[in-house]
Amino acid sequence: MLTAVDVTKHYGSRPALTGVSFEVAAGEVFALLGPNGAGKSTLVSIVAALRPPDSGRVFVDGIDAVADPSRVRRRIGLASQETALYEVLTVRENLAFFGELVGLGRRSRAARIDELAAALRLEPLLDRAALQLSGGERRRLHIAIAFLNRPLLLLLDEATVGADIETRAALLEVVRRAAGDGAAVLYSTHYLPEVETLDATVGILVDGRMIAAARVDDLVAAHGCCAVELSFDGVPPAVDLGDLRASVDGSVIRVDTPDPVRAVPLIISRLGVLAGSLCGVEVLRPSLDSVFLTLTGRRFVSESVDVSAA
Amino acid sequence: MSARRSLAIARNELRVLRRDPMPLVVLLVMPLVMAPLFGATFRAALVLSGHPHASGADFAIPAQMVEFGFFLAPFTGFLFFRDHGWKTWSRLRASPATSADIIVGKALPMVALGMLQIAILFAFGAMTLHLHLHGEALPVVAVSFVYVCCAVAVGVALTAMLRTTQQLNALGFLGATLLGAIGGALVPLSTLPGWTRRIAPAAPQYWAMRATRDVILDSKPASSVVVPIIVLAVFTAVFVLIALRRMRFDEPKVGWA
Repeated sequence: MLTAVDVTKHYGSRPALTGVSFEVAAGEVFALLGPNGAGKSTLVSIVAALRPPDSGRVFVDGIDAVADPSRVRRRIGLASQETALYEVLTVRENLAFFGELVGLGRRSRAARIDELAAALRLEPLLDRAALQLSGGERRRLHIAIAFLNRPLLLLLDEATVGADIETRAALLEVVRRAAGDGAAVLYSTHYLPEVETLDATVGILVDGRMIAAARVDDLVAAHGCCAVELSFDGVPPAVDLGDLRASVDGSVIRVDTPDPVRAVPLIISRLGVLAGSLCGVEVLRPSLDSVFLTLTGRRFVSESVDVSAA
Repeated sequence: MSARRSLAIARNELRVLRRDPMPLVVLLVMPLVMAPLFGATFRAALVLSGHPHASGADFAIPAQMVEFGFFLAPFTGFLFFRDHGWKTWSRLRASPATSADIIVGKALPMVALGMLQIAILFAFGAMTLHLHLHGEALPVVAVSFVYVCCAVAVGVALTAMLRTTQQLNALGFLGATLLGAIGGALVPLSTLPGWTRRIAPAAPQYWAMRATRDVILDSKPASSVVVPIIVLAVFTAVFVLIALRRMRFDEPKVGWA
């Protein structure tokens, strides 16, 4: 459904994307994972035909996004990172307007609004102005608009950022259902647990480069690692950990070990009196987090859940 | 381009306008307040310029039409900048609506609003301020329509060239006021310095004032508005051309949220 081939984009002299290639099949959720500034939003906007790449091609349902952006836009549903709503209009009016734009007739529009309002728990809010909604409610409306035309390709750019837990759960359920109905989903996110919940294929984007793209299980099998992380308040002390392979990253000593549970007591005993200056000990199991660590040399920093933000 | 999508966008703009009617107050009510205030002053000027039987409204109403009509330019721009402020711009662009659909959809309600403004102003003038339409009404309607289109085209061109709502606000309203003064919509051109009269034809306002004055005050035939209409149409075409050449839909703009 979506094919990106060698997509490159610069802002001035700064490269935003370099040679990015990937595919998303119908019914597949492709999670685009990467830190801030990795190029996720740029990639989503290129796929949505909102801006052209400097080079490379993007095809949606076989249609070239640069050559025929209008046809591509009829096949996509986009929810950008920032909520995009007509603030003085009601929830129903927002949905109805965008429904009209995507070509839904009066009856099918009304039916679709009811359907989405039920799925995203917007029913009691339909006649309330967008500016009177809470952060989570705004986020649900924002996402609902992207689903109006039952798009072949859903583009969700950090769609759950700032959403409360309840909103997040509802959104993930709707995304899962859309994929189950055959939509391809490009889901850019900061949250590793969402990727696992969605059972998604993962593309890891770092500094504009897609450094890995595979199913979560395959990535974990290939690159997952076990480690123990010791956090200190400030520069970690020099410690002799014997045969254990350790590296220092800021205030953290990371010890790579195939058996972290056994390693922890050993490490603590080696620390001796210095153990008193420990701020925390974390055991890393093979997971997306450890995959990211292996591939990039740094931990993936997810944003904290902020229930008040929109 | 799709008429259905343009109309959907136009209807949406009217819905937003209904919820936030301040532009309606400025465009529809303010000229009605200003016209009687200026009427008495203009009456004296009209007598001096050889129209002893004219009422002040014979000048004040067209003058307010021309002055406030050009405020459509910044208000048109606000429709675009507001979408940037509310982040709906990308959402509009990601919809099947083409660039032309979006521009036409936003321009249509402003043209309709401009014509409504003029209709209300003339009706108010005729009913309460003794406005006498000595010539035919149709030429005035024709001039008004082209003038309104010109103001809206200026709004789209300003949107294409400016980056922030603050710029649009300052340039739009100050520019409209300045051009209104140069074009003879604030005070009769005959009372302005000679150099002003020489540059006046560079302002669309001058041609709108000239046409309405010819018809309303001097009872000239309908053909007298042909040249002003052509000139205003050329102005409109130039601004549309500027808009088309300069408008970059993917350019970020700073709008008031």
